[in-house]
Amino acid sequence: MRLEIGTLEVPMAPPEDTATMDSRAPSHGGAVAGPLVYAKLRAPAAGPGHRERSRISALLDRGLEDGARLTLLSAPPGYGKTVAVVGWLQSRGVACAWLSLDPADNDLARFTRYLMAAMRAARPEIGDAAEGLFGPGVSPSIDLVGATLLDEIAATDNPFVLVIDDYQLVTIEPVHRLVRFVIERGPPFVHLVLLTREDPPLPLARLRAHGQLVELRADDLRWGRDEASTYLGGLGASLAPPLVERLVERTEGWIAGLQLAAVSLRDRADPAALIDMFGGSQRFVFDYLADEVLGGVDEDLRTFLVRTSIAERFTAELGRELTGRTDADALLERAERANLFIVPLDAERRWYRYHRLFADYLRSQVGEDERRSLHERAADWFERMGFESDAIEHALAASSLDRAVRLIERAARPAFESGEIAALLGWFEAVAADRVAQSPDLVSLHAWALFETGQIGAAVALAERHLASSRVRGPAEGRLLVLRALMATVTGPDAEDLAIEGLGLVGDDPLFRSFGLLAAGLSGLARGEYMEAVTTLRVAYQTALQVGYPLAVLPAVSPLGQALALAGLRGEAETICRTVLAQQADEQGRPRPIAWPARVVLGMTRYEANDIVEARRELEAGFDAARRMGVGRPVLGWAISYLALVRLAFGDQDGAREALSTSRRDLRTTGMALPGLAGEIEARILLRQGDVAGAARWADRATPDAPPSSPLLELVRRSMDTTIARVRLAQGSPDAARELLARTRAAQEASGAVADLISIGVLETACADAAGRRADALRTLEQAVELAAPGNYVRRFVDDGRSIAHLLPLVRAVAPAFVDTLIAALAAFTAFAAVPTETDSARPHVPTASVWQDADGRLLETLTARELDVLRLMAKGASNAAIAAGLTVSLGTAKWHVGHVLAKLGATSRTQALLRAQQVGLV
Amino acid sequence: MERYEIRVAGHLSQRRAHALGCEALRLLSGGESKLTYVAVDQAALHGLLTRIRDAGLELVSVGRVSAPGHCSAGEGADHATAR
Repeated sequence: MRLEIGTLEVPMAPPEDTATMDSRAPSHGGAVAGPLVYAKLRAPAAGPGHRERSRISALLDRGLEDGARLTLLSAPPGYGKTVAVVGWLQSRGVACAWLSLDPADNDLARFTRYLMAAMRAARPEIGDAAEGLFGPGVSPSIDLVGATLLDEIAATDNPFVLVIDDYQLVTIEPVHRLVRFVIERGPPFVHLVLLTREDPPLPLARLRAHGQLVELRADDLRWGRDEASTYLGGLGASLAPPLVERLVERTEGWIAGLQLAAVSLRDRADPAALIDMFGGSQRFVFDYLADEVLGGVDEDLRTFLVRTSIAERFTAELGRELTGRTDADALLERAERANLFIVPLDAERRWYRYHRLFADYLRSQVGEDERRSLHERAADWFERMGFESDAIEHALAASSLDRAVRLIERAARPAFESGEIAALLGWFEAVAADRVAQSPDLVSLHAWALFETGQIGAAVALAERHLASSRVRGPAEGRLLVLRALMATVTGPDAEDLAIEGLGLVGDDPLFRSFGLLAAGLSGLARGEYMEAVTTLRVAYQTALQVGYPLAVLPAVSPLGQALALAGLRGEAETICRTVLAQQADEQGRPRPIAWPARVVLGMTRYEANDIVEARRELEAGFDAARRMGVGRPVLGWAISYLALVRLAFGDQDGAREALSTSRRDLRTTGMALPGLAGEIEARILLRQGDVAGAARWADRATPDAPPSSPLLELVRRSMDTTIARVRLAQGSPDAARELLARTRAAQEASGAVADLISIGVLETACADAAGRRADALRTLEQAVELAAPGNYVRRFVDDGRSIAHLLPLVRAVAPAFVDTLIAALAAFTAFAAVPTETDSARPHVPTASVWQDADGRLLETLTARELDVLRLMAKGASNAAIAAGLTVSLGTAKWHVGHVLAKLGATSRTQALLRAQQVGLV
Repeated sequence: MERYEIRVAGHLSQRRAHALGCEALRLLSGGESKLTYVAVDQAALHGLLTRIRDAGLELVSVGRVSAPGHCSAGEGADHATAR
């Protein structure tokens, strides 16, 4: 496609004319780390005499042609890269998003914030979801940040050019990878233009080979004689052609040199003399001409230029601070009028910077002592103005470490909370380690920052070292203890003690209090003390709500939800998940990936309620997002077994096994799985397939494989014993099963593991029934129903109670409505879920499927072509036998298909299934 | 500590050489400058190369001086143009 040149307006200036703005506090997202420097999001205005270079613009136009993915302007400073692009954009009327980088942008979170803000300045309809991906406890993958960013870009369909200036300042791999992602997958209507002093580590050779790269290098950007002549004339320095020729030759078409020459030639009576002298000199062009220029201005202006050059950007007010002159405004105006390489950064002409080459030259005029005192004063001024990050840079440049440490102490927490971890670690690196060590607050945030970036070993070592010293006391010690506690929850026995000690010290700090309570709750959960864990985790969740931004609750959602679901409080877990998901929805109402813990736990609760369609959707989507987010926190692993079970419920044994093998992998990378569970679930798959012998082989050898020190060992053992009982029952040894169950029941009762007690009750009922002890069977069944009814734990009966369905009507009095639901659920299951007994060779393999939605617009399962055939026959009132005859398959296969159709429609009966199918227009 | 000699195009001033962090400057007759730089490590050397790039200087060559003292600090001073 081609941009419609000339029909778009150019919002070169963002809507508000202020140099900075508060970053929009994202309603869904994390903390806000200080103001955005708005001046970075503006294309610099072209100086006097600069007009569009038609030759260069023609080269840049190729970037808007079909297939071009990237325009790269790669040349040393002073070649007029910025001005060339600005002139081109203005002459073509192309809309642009502009981002000028500075060294502090070497942080993925910060870069993303600026990139989004730049694009929003051009296209306000673009959202801010990608910024909401960063915060404590979350470290999104590049793929996710990139995909979210592209999602947001999709909110617009108006073409624009995205310009990133000074790209050579990017030195960290994550930002390069994000830019690469945008180049490779960005929509064709967004064209990326990078301005850089060195070739970036992007796949340039490949882009070049595919004709996707438009390149302008130093040779392309050099000014020819005619161009230079026009340019010099525009600046009031008209020269005879031979003089222009000599000037171009001497500067090699380098615009920085030409511009300096123009300034110093302007007021000279005899330009030829200067050019002659210059032509004969071997001095470095820029220094030679800059010396001439600086020598031609009065002392006041000279001092002003030199002193203000130490700041990356400045205002007249800062100029006053640095020079002590009350007429700084007038001096600034003179400098601008004299075209002294000064670039206004906003429309109000408040913020300025020098061309970087000129700034570099001016800085070389400042003596060492003066330089430090100037940086000192600049740090002071930036601090008063609330620009902490600039103040820190100046304090560091002034070698004023006390001030730097004091400023970092103030800025570190907001940076941590908004996920700008790389920036934070950069500050720690700039200040010597022993200075950081003197500040307890910084030490604790340093350890947390290492933890957040996955440097667990370094985080532990740092925390241990400082906990052992006497200097770190109070809240900082509390934060280190909480960190240690969180890391000990799965592997160590002392997590709770550490957490309690830490909580006593952190003070009134909701974020770290919630982390401490989380660690204590997780530890309780790992020890199998469910009710206690529920109480603690509820407080953790409530405390996280007080932090002030919704992201903070996410780490608490998964442990609290799992604890509630295990403790029999399924309804409360579901409510919390739905609340969080409603808060974490994007404009289209879709849950944001960062809300994955709520989706996973919602899936678990829906599985328990026997809504396997929603359960599967939420679990699949939740785990998918979790992997893309790059989960940094250990998440207890019951959840992954639910993913396996729900796939099994759909007859997808391969999928169930795949979930387990993934869980083994995730155990190593993310701690997402519970050790030892995989074997147990595998045995349940074998039982479902009717392979009792295979399951028995597992049961005969089963031992938990959790690490010996882990408190989870006991929980894994209970879970395995329950499944060994399932196997024994299937083998026809109800007595062996009963013995195991009795032992497990005692432990689970002490824990308050209501959900597991329901399964145990159902299995005990089956044992008693198999042994002919009807009264025992009914008594245990009654107990199980009583436990299950308040939380609507239907699925426990469907999974383990097929053989005792006939007993349910006898206990109906305990909870009539619930028992009726159980009877219906089991009837649907036993009628349709038979495993096919023969391979269906006659079935034409049609992979086409229809994806459709229910009345609420929710995406339901996909029906295969064969299932659609079955559905149509069902609509005609065909029995299973008639369906089998109509499709020339066995009765078992027909039942199997009908079962799938029902499950996929989330229906418990044929009537319900047909009703739903009609609602969505399938039949 | 390693000592490096860096050549760039054009004659530099002492002030510029100092701003780049070099300890000696020698102006060569062919219109080049030879800078001597003592690098703590490779990262420091790359930092210098970046400063040279950012000053818009044309880099001609970079070489490690194997024998320390081969180019003493004072050697270039005689030839340096005083501003």
